[in-house]
Amino acid sequence: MASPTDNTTAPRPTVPPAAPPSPPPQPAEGLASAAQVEQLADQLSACADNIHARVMRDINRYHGADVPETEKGAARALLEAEAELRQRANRLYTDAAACVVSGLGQPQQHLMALTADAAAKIAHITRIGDSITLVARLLGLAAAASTGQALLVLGAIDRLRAQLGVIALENAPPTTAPPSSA
Amino acid sequence: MNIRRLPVLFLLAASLALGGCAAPGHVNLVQVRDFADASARLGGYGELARRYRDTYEREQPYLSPAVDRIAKENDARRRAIYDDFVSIQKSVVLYMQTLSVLAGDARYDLSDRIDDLGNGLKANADSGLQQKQITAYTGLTRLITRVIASGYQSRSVETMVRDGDADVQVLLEAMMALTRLYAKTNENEKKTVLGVFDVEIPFSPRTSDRMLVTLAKVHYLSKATEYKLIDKRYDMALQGLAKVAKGHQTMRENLNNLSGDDVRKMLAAYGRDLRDIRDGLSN
Repeated sequence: MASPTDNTTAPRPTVPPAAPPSPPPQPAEGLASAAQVEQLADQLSACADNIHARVMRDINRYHGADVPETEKGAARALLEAEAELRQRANRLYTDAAACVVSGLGQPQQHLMALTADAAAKIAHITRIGDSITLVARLLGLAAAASTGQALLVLGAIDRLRAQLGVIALENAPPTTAPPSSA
Repeated sequence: MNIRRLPVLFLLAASLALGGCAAPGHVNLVQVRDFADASARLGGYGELARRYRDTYEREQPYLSPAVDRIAKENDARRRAIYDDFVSIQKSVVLYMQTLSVLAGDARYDLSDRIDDLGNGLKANADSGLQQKQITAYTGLTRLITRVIASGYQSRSVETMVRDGDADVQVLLEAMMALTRLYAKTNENEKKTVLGVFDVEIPFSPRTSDRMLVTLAKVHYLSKATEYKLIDKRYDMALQGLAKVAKGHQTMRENLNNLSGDDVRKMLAAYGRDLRDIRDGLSN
């Protein structure tokens, strides 16, 4: 069932001769996509379910009485076949999962870029807050100036100078790439 | 007394700060923020991805040597791609967290900056400004700041939703597909484990050690219960992811109206559902 064109490396599932008939073979090109790999795995799992049901039917015929050793042997062999089928199916589920993630590089990258841009925007908004503070300091200065009280004016000038310094720092051209929030 | 010139001065300064971004009316992004927050904290997927990765640890005691060989290979394969599963989730979570911040986290509360303005005035109380005027001043500046911040916020939220929707939907779809694969793998694990007891318990001859048989039955019951509880979690995780997808789609379809009553109601409902699912998963 594996073909040169599919991207899975799952070995052919093996079924021991005593097992019930295996599922019909899949077309070679049918394994190309994750969905189809998953479908094959579903079929293998269903087959395992059938084997289990068959084994239980045989055991329950004895209604709690001792089961002869030969029957036990056959049942255990079938149980092992069922377990192997389930492992093969799980391998295919993993292959399908790998298909799912392998196609995702671009959307994920784009989303990360978008998030980084948004983080930069958020930082910018913080600076608008600085503008408000600047306005506040200007007004503080204006208010202080109207009182004619020298100390108050000096204090207001200091605060204004500090605020301008903060803004200059933040507006300085970055020497490295802007930080992202990731 | 220059008090009469102050409002004019302020309006001048405020119009400079406002630039061209005044938004009409009141923009309410609380539901957007809550929805994004609930989406980021949904849970379920991460735990189930880890469980998927650790499948072999749990099933190994029940495997025959031949089957164990195949199971070991599966284990290596699962561990190899697990990191990619986590990366997908991380990118969606980070996106939602960022959206939540843009939609109005506490750091957007600029009123402490506004209190600066108030302080600037209060400090000059002996200049003759009355408390009433200071209060009105502070109130006005708060209002203006809210408009500035809201206008900017809502534009950023819209841009991010518009630009991110396609990719978010692709990644959420992938997470749902993966969760279904985790569930199917778990199903095979469960049947492998319980299957051993289905067969061996009836096979114990009546003369065999009763203690051993009793232990086996108890163990079987405990495992069966464990798997029943786990099964529910896959369903809940899938429901949660679907709600995140629908909520984001709702925002995408209503970009110009994120504050509209019906949009907010829909987002509030999604947010509530997501929190319920999260509570269910944390039990």
